Amino acid sequence: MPGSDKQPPIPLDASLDANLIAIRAAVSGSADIIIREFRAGASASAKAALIYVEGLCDSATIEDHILRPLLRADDQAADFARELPQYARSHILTVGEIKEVGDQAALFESFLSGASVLLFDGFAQALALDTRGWEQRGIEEPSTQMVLRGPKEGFTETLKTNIGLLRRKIKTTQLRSERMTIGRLSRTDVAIMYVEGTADPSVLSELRVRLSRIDIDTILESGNIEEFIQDDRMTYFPTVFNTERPDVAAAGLAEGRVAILVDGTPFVLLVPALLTQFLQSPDDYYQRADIASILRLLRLTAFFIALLAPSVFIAITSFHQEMLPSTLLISIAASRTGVPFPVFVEAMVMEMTFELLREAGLRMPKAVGQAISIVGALVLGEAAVQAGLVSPGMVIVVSLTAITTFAIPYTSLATPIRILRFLMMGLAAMFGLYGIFIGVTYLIIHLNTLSSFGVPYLKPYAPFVLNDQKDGVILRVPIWKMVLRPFSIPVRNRTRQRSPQSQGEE
Amino acid sequence: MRRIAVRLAAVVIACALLAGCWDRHELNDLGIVSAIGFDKKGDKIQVTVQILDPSELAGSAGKASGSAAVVAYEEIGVSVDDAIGRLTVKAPYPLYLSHTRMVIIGEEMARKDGVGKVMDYLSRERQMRTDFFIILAKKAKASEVLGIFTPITKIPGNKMYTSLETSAKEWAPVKGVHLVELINDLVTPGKQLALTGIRIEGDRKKGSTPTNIANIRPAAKLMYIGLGVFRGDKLVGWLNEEESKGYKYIQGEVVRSVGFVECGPNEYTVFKIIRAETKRALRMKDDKPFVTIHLRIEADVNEQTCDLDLSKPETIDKLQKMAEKKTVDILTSTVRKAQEIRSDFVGFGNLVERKAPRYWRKHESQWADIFPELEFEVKVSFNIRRVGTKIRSFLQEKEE
Repeated sequence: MPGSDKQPPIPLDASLDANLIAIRAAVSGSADIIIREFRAGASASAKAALIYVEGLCDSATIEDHILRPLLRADDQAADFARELPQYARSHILTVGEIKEVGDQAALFESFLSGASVLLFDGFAQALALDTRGWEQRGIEEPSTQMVLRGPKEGFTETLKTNIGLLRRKIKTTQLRSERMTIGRLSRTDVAIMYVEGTADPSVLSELRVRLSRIDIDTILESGNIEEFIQDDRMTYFPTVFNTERPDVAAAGLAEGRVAILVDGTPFVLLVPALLTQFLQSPDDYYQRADIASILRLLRLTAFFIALLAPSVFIAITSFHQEMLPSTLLISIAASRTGVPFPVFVEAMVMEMTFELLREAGLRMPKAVGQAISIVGALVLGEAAVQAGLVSPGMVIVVSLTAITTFAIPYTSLATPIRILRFLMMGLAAMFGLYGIFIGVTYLIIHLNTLSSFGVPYLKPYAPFVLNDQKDGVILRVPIWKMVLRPFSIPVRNRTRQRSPQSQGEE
Repeated sequence: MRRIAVRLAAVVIACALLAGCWDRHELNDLGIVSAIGFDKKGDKIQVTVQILDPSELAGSAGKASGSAAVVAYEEIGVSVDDAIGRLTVKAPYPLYLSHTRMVIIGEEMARKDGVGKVMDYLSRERQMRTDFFIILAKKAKASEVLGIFTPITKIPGNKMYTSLETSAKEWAPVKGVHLVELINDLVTPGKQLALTGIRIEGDRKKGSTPTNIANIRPAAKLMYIGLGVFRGDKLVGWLNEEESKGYKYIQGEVVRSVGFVECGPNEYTVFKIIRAETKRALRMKDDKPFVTIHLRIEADVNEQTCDLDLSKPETIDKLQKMAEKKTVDILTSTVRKAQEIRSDFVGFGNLVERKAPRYWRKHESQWADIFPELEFEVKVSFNIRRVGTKIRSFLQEKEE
């Protein structure tokens, strides 16, 4: 593809025919690239051509604001013949954004990203007119990050719309957006957005460096970018935050984070990311603080259950039977009579079955999805127990972990937990609770080694930041108490409320 | 990648070297022991274990076939562990002792061989938790006690445990002894051991068949009865109900109990003891120790069949005096009994050791002779706190 090749740019020719031959040669065979030749001016005095890609451009704009004015223009004016491109730009065309392009590479890139390129015979420059307009999905409710209370709008696939959504939340000139193009083939538009004066310049410059280092043919989703810019690649844990929700992205920007918007995906990245963020749901900030704190406690419990429930069950039932109350021991033993497998194998089989169902359910056409869930419930629950293959206790444990996994607000954190659960089960089966402690210790060590753009991943807990305990894994103090911005991530301006007030009436 | 792999491998290998799966057992491959009994068999020890059959218990209702929920296995060996080791040839699974609720010692063994020998195993064995109760089988072998079907609570071990736990709290003559307390009593100078006895009431033969739990009135029942007292680790006698009560008061172990005074011919006022506090003091009288027991009791009137007007303070005073006298009698009879059988289970020697150590060091070896002659006094303060929701009995009201 031209444009990104590191060759000296080929300037346009003054002759329209020469230019068109070059263009035709480059795009030969592409039926969707339209080259419309015409004669501009009421008396058809100037040869011109318009090049655009069908499907990327709005044909009404082309007809009403380019072709019609050009064809009807008064070509008697002195400047018409002499400085046609400038004259057209200032007197004829009624299109908003017009850029001048002087070389072939820029010309190709312009019309391939949706502009219409206007060439005049006798001039070695072209006009790129913004006529972008394609079919796009409207703003819908985010499908993966749902809240009970909060805005129902989500990002879309169009970068322009997404930037607009953020601009509508933060209406200040301090909100900056930098554009760049990544991908030799895809030429994907990527925008970095941040609040000047709040975001830390060192994070920004590091991000710019990391983004500019990316040299790849296509960037199709922000996940591609995420893999390139994360600090530590040897981890299951996400060190880049992603969100579908403009409100979450705006909150991140206000806290001094930097957003990375990628054209073609509704998932916006935020850096730096901390582990606590993945346990905080947006509704925490939209409902009462005390209730939010209780729900966070619940979610944290879910996090640990999802990680450890099957392994603790395995460890206790196969190593530490003395820890169970006698009656519980008896009922578990009773429910296990006749089960042919050791509890570890039983747990593995059940967890695998559940993960399979989940994976299959994701790709199931909606119409069949129902069927799968019925089969799943029957296979996992009734039939397996009836057949004596698994014990009822195990079904409870597995469904408990399944439910708790979904209580973790972000799938990017839920997935590593799902994987680590299996490792923990293995450790538990080999070494009992001792193994679990080894595993958890290693996990904590591992989490301590992680960082996101230089910020320790476990902040504000390790290292401890007193100020940020107000909005941590469990606690969420009332908004009016959050006078300062979080310090965990580097931030320029720490003041959030300039004249702190207590609640309500004074 | 490699660094992490190396580290992970190091962790896993370290784990494997330090621990291992050697003590891994599937839950359903365990012979969960709920009660153990020890009997004397010639020169050897007979060990009886009651193993749970989980499928007969709890869990999926309807699966139970109605046969016994526990199975008892017996084996003879020179020591406890020897016998338990031999038991593996009978039991389907390795014995799992952590959930043992009761240890029962047969009377014959307690009298002749003593309880010390088996305690070593119980305190040394890694699997044993120390929260089980130790009791004596009165006029029976431990193996007989472990052969009785118990209704409602299908596991005899659990039945004995919960029943002892409640009665030790609510009924003064019964005492629950855990391993630690037993060993303490055995090794404390000037203190002898006392253990609660269990008796089989009714037909032992019928009691060991499933019909025992099929009837409304079981043919045989297990019941706690009085305390057996020891000299050293050997059983030397049994206390009757009153004496057992006295023992618990002297030890200050009564939580709640029931007591009565005779307020007329065949007429009684019954008290619910709600608090009891014991203080023991020692002074030297003519160069000999003299023990004073102060007992403070708080009680409610729970029932009365005589014609007493409880609204009058004089009546209450009178009842208190009567109760005090009766309690003094009970406590005195307990100490007399101890002196009579020459077993210092009331722990006076221990009191002397702590309060008059010099005297104790001089006379420790003669204590067995001094104790029977020891002088003591009992002081009881009995306080009636409440009289229930009635002042007068409705019988009196009817008569008027």
